Amino acid sequence: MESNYIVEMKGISKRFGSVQALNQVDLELREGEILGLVGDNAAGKSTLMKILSGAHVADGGQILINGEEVSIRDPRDARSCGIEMIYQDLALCNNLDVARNIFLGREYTRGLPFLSILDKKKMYAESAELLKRLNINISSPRLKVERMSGGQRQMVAAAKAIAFDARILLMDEPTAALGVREANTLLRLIKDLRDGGHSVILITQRVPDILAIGDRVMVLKGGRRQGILNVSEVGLDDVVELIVRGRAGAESGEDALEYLSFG
Amino acid sequence: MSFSSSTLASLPGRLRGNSQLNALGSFLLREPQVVLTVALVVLMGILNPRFLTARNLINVLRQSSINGIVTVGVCWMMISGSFDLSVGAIVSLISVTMVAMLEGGAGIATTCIFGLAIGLATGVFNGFLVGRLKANPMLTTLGTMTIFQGIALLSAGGYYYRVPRNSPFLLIADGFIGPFAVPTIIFLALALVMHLVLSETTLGARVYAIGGDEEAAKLAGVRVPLYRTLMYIATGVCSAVAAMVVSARAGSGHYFIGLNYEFHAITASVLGGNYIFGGRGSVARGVWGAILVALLNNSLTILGFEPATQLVVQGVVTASLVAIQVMGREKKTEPELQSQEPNGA
Ligand SMILES: Nc1ncnc2c1ncn2[C@@H]1O[C@H](COP(=O)(O)OP(=O)(O)OP(=O)(O)O)[C@@H](O)[C@H]1O
Ligand SMILES: [Mg+2]
Repeated sequence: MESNYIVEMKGISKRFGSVQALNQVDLELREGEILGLVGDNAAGKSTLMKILSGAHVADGGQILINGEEVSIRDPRDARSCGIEMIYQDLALCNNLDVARNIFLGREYTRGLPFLSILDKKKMYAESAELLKRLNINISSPRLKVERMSGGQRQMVAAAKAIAFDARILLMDEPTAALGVREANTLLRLIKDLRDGGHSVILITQRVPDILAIGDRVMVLKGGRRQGILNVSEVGLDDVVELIVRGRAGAESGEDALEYLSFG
Repeated sequence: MSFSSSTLASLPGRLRGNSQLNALGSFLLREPQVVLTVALVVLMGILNPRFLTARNLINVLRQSSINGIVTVGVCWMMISGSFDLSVGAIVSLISVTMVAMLEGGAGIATTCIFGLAIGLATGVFNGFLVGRLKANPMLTTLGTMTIFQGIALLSAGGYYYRVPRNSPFLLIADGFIGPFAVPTIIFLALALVMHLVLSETTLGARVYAIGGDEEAAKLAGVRVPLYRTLMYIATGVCSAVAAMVVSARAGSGHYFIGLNYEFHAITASVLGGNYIFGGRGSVARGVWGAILVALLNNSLTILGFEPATQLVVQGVVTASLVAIQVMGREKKTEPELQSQEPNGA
């Protein structure tokens, strides 16, 4: 059972100046599961995922993909490991249109091998198809991202990550800017991706979402891992208690119930 | 409201009321080259019958070519969201070196290849500092400008070199193909190639992305330092080509021959409607801008102003356009910050 991890992170630490964002964090992602990653603001969730996506380099620790240690020093390394990420701040180029954002860095080309001429027709056609397939409410892949609503931009970021059929998908609060209907569409899509064999790490503030579609949920607090729970075995209050109080359970007087009323 | 890019569209928001007027205003602010060209042609057409002759316009095209060649490289640079202030010094350095070689009896092909190699080397040097070490482009190229200028001065020793009389090298400036001077053809051919590379290749796609959001481009797997370096190589090589033309035209190599070229090129690029913060624009706009600068200078000359007036007018126009762009950008970023807040459950 321990053998089929597609991603293992071991003893990951990261410090930003005086802030110890991550302290010896382990993470295991099984093949074909949705792993929720939850925790308070500044718990270190985004930082951990950015280390996996090559946006940050860890100060210490190991990353294993399919049991083999890999070195991920930039986003290109991560891509070649089959990792794609939807960033919390989306990381879109506002000056470009939808298709150009989706294909940035891996454009379709044609013609001479030493002069990579863009195959614009193919890129726009495929982008239009992708928008349709993902049910995204954007009329044309030629629209510039800067003119779009927060939700539309979020869906473009999602489309960009999903477009290339990466084995490992990291999603940092992908539903944050979405309305209820759009969020549900995306959650269903994430489930479909999982059922199609993709492995997903989903960061979210909405714990019920994870309980609805996730397989396991990992809790971070203050840059430390508090635990990994099987979704089928826990309820909302268990997760929330871990988020609020941590593993020690008694470090603060905050009331978990207060938090619950938020969810 | 179907304008594709409207950085400046928000600026005349104060003019509200008539939305058509508003749209027109924002169009004119975004496309200053249209306004200026129409204004100049109409005004000069009325004031002086000599202006609108084919002969004068072909002459303007020729006058625009040296600045145009530098501008083409500067356009790439500007679209990538960066600057190269050292282009003028590179022109001087290469002019001195090439003409010294010619004076010493070197072959023309060897000399030109050597000139291009220097352009390449200066680009790699600037690119290393700005792309790899992530130094501030303005300050860095201000520094390298001084270095290149200093080397040019040292090797010239305050003296200038002469292209040997009757050298075919002079044809680079004096030759004609049909009604068009060789410099015009070099300018337009180079511009066409650089325009197509930017609009049709992966290099272009990535340069626009870097100019729009360097961090997002990096996260999408774009090798930002590589492309930054390529931009400096482009300005370096364009400067080398400009150095050939200007040296042939002057028949000599001076250590100060490229004085103010960086300013003229930035003027042309901005006048053509390119955006100083990068991410949008085109080489074609830079071509238009370079021709417009020449047109402006030509008009001032025809009207009998002193040559120094040209600098003042260019400075005023450029500063105004840049100010408009800066104001448009501030307007635009304000509401964006507010809408970035994540909403809760
Ligand atoms: N690039 C950075 N530079 C400096 N400090 C950073 C940087 N990125 C994150 N941090 C710090 O690291 C800590 C963890 O941040 P991180 O973004 O990983 O939290 P998070 O769990 O994703 O929070 P949120 O729920 O608000 O997104 C915070 O204290 C944050 O201020
Ligand atoms: Mg975060």
